[in-house]
Formats: sequence, C-alpha cells, structure tokens
Amino acid sequence: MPQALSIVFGAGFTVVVSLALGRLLLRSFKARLYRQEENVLAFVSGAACLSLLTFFLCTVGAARKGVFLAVGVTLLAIAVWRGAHRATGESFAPLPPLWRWLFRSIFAIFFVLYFINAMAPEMSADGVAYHLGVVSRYLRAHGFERITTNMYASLSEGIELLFLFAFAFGRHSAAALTHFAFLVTLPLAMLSYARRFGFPAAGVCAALLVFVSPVAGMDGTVAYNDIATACIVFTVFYLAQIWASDESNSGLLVPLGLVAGFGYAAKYTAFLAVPYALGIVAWKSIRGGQPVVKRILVVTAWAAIMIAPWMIKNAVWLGNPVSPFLSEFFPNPYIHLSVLKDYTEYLRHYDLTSNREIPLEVTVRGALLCGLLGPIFLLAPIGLLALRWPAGRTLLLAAMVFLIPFPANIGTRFLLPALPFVALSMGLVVAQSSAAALALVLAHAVLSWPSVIGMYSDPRAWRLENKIPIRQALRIESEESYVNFKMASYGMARLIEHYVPPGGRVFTWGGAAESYTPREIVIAYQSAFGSSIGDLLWTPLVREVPATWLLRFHYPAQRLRQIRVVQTATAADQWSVSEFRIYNGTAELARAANWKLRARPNPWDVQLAFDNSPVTRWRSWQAITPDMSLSVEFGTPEISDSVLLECSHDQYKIQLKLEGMDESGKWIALAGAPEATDIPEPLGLRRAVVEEVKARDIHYMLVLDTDFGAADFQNRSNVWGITMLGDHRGAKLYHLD
Amino acid sequence: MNEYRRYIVVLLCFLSGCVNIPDSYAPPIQRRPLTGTEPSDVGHFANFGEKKADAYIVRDVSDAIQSGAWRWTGKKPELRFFLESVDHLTFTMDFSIAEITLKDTGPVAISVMINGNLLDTLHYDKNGEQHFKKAVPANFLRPKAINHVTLEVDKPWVSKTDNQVLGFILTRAGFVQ
Repeated sequence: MPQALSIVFGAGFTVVVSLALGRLLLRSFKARLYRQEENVLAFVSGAACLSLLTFFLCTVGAARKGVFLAVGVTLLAIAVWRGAHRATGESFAPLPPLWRWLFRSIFAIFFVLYFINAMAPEMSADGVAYHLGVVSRYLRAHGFERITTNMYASLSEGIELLFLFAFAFGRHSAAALTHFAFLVTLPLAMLSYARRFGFPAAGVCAALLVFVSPVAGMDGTVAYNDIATACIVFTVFYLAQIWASDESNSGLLVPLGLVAGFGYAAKYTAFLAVPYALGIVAWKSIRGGQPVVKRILVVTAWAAIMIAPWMIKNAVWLGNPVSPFLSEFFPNPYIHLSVLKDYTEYLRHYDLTSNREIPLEVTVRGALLCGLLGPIFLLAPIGLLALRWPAGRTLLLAAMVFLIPFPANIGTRFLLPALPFVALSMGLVVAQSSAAALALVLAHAVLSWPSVIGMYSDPRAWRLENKIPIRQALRIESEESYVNFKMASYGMARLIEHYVPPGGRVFTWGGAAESYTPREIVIAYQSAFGSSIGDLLWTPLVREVPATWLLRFHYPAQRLRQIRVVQTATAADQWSVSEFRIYNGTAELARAANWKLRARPNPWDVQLAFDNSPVTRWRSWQAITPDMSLSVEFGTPEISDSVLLECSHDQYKIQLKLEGMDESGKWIALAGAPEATDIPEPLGLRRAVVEEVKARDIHYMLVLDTDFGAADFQNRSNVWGITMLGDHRGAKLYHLD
Repeated sequence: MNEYRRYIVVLLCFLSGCVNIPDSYAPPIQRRPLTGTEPSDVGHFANFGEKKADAYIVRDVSDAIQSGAWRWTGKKPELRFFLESVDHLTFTMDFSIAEITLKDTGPVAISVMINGNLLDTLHYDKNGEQHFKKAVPANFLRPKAINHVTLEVDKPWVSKTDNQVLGFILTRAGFVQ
C-alpha cells in the first residue's frame, strides 16, 4: 500500500472504530442525544474504550497490526449488526445562514491546512522523542515493556495507545492524524454544545477561535496529546451539562465517568475532569433533592475503569502509582527527587524573567512558552462579561477549574483544556453584536494563517511553517529526505542505528528522535539511571566532583555493632560520599559479605559508597536535611577507631557527626566534626568512569557539541578510552572501548 | 468519623504496599584501585604547602613551608613522583617568580627535565604567579616506578649577606591526565 494511503487508513481506521465503539456505548445506555452531538460525543467516548482495549492488548502482549485489524473489523461488524452505523436522534435547528457560511468556510480552509500538516512527516520534538518513542517500542515488543529509564514512559498514555493503534498501520503520520481527529472534533463539540443550549452564534465564534488558534493548529497536527486532552475535558463538561439539564437522561452518567477517567488516562493534568464531573453530579442531585450516592458511585466506578490500569501499571512496575510525580511520598529508585524538582521548577518558569511576560508570550510571541493562542485572545477578559448569564457562569467556572494545573506548567499548550470555555464565554459576549463577532473571527482567522503569524510573532515561535507541505504529505518527496533535511535529531537516530547493534543502548544528555530508531536511548534527565550516568561522566570534568576531600572521624577504639554517619544541616546542597572506610589503627576493616549497608535517603545507591571506586558515589539526590544518614551494620561486632569518608567538594554546607551502636544495642556519639584534608585528584579517572558506565550496560554515547565536556570527549578520547564512530550536524557518537 | 479513619488507614496501607524499599544491602564487588599500591608516600602530584610533600623532594627545595602554601626552591630543585601508568600524562606546575629576586637577576629561564629529558624551557621577565602545563611523551616516563623532575633556574638569586640561593616559589607540581 502506498505510504500516503497507509497513513490515512491507519488514522481513519482508528477514528472509525472509536466512533463505532462510542455509538455502541451511548446507545446501549440509551443516552438521548441530538444527531450532530452524538457523533462528537461518540468519538471521544469510543476513543476512551479503544484506548482501554489497546491497554488490555498491550498487557497480554497482543499489540500487533493483525490483532488490531481483527479487533477493529470485529467491532465495526458488531456496530453494523447493532445498527450503530445509522444516525438517530433529532437534528439541531439549522444555523442562521451567516453563521453557517462563516463556520463552514473558515473551518474548511483550516481543515485542509491542518490535514496536510498532520499528514506530513512527523517532526515535533516530543512527538518523535517520547510520545511516539514509547509507541514504537510497545509495537516492537507487542505490548508494554517495563521502562525504568524514561520518566515520560510512566506518564499515563491513553492517547498514545490510540496512536499505537494507528501507528501499526501508518506509522508516525497516522498517529498525528489521529490527534488531528480530536482537533476537528473539539470545535464541532463546542458548536453542538452551543446549539443545544441556545447560543449558536456564540458557538460558531468560539469554535473558530479555538480551531484556528495557532497553538491548537500546531499541537493538533503533531503526535502530542494536548488537543486530545482539551477535547476530552470539553466532552466531560458537555456530557455533564446535558445530564444536568435533563437528569432523566441518566444513561449519560456512564460515558461521563468513562470520559472523565479518560482525561486522567490522557494526561495527568486532566485528572480534574473527575472531580469536576463528580461535583456537577453531586451539586445537581443535592439541589434537586435526588439521591447522590448512587450517581456518584456510577461516575466514580466508570472513571476508575479508565484510571486504575495506569495507576496499577505504575505501582507494580515503578513503585509509584503516579510516577514520576509524588516520588517523595512513593520513594523509588527510578527518579531522583532533585532532578524532578529541577524539572518541575523549570516548567513553572521556563525561561521567563517575570510572569508578567506570560500574557504576551502565550498570545503573540509564542517562543519562550512554546506556542501562541493568537493576539485576539488578549481580549479574553471580555469573557468575564458573560458572568451575567447562567451559561457564562458555568463556562467560567469550568475555565477556572481546568486552569488550576497551569501554574505547574506555564507552557501555552497547558492553556488548551481551559481554552474552549474561555472562547465560549468570549463568544457569548461578542455575539451580542453580529458585526463585532464577525470581525473578531475574521481577524483571528487572518492573524492565525501561518504566513501571517510570522509577521508579528517571535521568529522562534512554535507554529506551523509558512509553506504548506503538500508534496511531503503525499510522500511525493520521500519522508527520509525531508525529515533528514529538516530535523537534525533524525540524522542522529540514523547514525545510532547504523553503528549501534540491536540491543545496544546509547547514553546522551540531549536526546534524539527515539521513535525513528529501534535502539534504546538513555537520556540523562529522564531517570535516576540516566542522571547517575551523567554524574559519573562529569566526575573528571568538574573540579569539585572527584573525591579529593577526606573527612576522618577519630574515636577511642571500641567494639561496635553498627556505625553511622549522620548529616545534621539543612541547606540546598546535596550530600555525597564516594567511599566509606572503617579503620582499626592503620588497617582498614575488610568489607564483609554479611555487612548490612543502609542509606537514608536513596537507599538503593548505598553500595556506591562501598565499592572502592573513586568515581562512583552515593548521593542524597535531594537537598540536605538533618535526617540523612549512612550506616554499616557489622555481621558480628567489630573493633574500630576511625572512619574515613572520601568525598567530593561540591557539598559546602554539610555537617556530619559519627554515631555507633555499642554491644548493648545503644546508639552513642563517637565523634563530632571530622578532620578534613585534601588529596590530589587521582590519575585514571576518565578511564575508570568509562569502565563504570560500561558496567551499566551502556557502550555508546551521543554527545552534542553544545554539551558540557564535549571538547574533552573529543580531544582526549584516547584518555577516556572512547572512539568516535560518526558525526552528524554537531552530534558525535562514541563507542566506549 | 472512626469509620472514615478505618478507610483512610486501609487506603494508606494499600498505597504503602506500592513502595518497595529494601532494608539493607551487602557490600558490592570491590573495584580495583586506580593506581595500584604505591611503594611509598610518593604519588603523582604534590602540594608543597603540605608537610607530606617532603617525600616528593629529592633536593634543593626548602623544608620550610611559607604561609602554609609554598616553599622556596634553590637553583636546581629535583622532585620525584610515582606513576602507575605513563599514557596521556601532562606535567603541571603552579609557581611564582618573586619580585625581589627578579629585580636583581633580571629575566630568568627555567628548564623542565623529566628523567633527564628536556620537556620545555620557560622564560620569564615579569614577576607573579605562573601556571605551566604540558603533555609528556610517554617515552620520557617509566611506568610503575619513581620518575624524577628537575627544574633548573639559569640565574638564581644569591643573597649578598649569607650567600643563600633562591630559585622560585613552588606551590604545586605533578602529573595529571
């Protein structure tokens, strides 16, 4: 099958199966819906079902193209047999001609623009890296794999599993087109909502404000999941409003719970869909004097069906149901708290110097916060005028709820779940004047056309390119040549695949287009494993890191059952110990197999302080607090009189004391502050580091010219014991010899 | 309320079941030392502000540590270093030319010889702190053995009162990678 056809088939098949499943679901629960709204609600509800089904197939190791085809065809056959292919329900009253013309013309123009872009070769940073990186990995493994080296793989992946269904047939662009289906569904859902509740003109305005918004167009045409999340959140709102307006339509509680749970499955930040749905159900039930508990239980149970698989998967494999977040409450060896803290801290600020920059960044500039809504959204405060109508208050409440996660990640994309509600409230206000509404929408459409965006946005803004990639979408120009020309990380992936044998793992600080190579790429910041390797490789490069600082505690010789070093300060520094040695006179106590080593925190790395390697070290991987300790329990009590800690200098604020457990089992103070001396940096650190990295089954390293230490790796490769295999646009692939 | 508490306890127990923190670990396989057992206190690098640097001095460097950081050399100081491996090594030295000596001697040259092989000759016409660093050919060096470094000053300063000879101020020296 020509590539373009397989792409369209992959996405189309996924959408049709979702639609069929959704119609079967809605009709089996006898939800009473208008014809137009049934399709959009069915697609999203069905997508939730298909995502869950794909989860099951991945769990049992049946994620194969043939299985997807058989399952999809079977579901379509059942849908036809049950008559789900036939439209039912009444139609909405026709749109007024002006608004119908406006909606159809602008929607059609941007539909074509977006379709072509979505079908073009996938080049989005996160899409080719992890959204589709894990998808391609699952497809190769025919199901889930326990991935502990990539925190993104532990996020909920409900949308990615839909991508997987499509990817099996049409690869990357089929996944992007699947996301595009949500981009199309969202404005249709908004319009249906507005028509149902009697403000179609406002609905047209709002739907177009969202649909043509530059960030929506960019995000919804690549393999991200933000637009899908926004669509799910709006669907929850829509279902809740339909139910709230007619509580006898109780069959809607099932899809309401299911889709609310799908929000969590799509993106953690959309977990708010569940309390929102429960809140609406509880509020309406209490106000109407109706029983609450049963309704709440129905919604909760169906939401749990969507949420629980992801929590269980993470709890079983990673020891944290909401991995990587809340790792301070679910300690695990797969993510370092300091790395997570730095990462989440960055997401709260990006590269902004002040939060006052946010309004212009998210509406006009579009570079620092990755995307722009369009300058028209500077007028968003006019939506507050909608407070005078009940619908406006409902919409603004929903906007507030779904804006709650925004401070945790101020990227423009994270405004998308709240955007439909903001747009509808704006629509309610401006639609009071047809001329104003028309002007607003037309201006927004013009300002959102790719070649116009470049006239006012930051040149680095995340947006669609001016040139519409028709030849590339149709694969008249090959995907390989286009992507290789446009995206450096694709060439890196090819470089890796050329030199690294199957099963080989590559370490890198930056990243590569993981979805374009079957080799495993370990990225420093994405896991505890990766950040430990990064720490190792920097040891010879940063003057304060080698263990040249000796801290010795002296105490009267005595027989002890345990010895522990306790850190007593509170500061931002991290505590680390390269070697923990215990002496009796001048003789070091040999480390016996029956010794029990403990560390708090990060107990999993305690052996690094007892391995006799000058390049490895146990680190707290979090800011120092007085409850941190390193301890040794002897198999049988041992006589000793000093403890030597070999440490790095990059821990200026630590304060240590030594304690011992005597033979009666009582902890006693042995020594206060240690005596500190310095030794020269040992020779052979670089080679020792490489040996340690190899011991962790990493035999290749991709270093960008901009990475810290890149020149040292290149100029002193013989000292490190590494060989450069190839170079692609500033990225060098090394073999660890 | 008690009933709710029971649910909370059960929930916490369930959640804590996710956490798998081992009680302790045994010592791991021990890595080999980087440079093996050295035959004496002599290593590959010395800080002459420390007393233990005495072991690195063969001749013509003062025993007295000045300001806890440096020592005077004579005309032809000789140092020794133990090297396990000789590949990819650089000889590095932090030192100073004193204003008081330079004023009398005029510009000076220091020849750096390693095991009798001339590594470089350094010329100075100004006083102040200096840093020297140069890769050493492997054939200048002996692995798993003591290696000698000689630093010869062409025009040392000689005291007019007691004929004491001063070369330069030595802070740190040794081999690094």
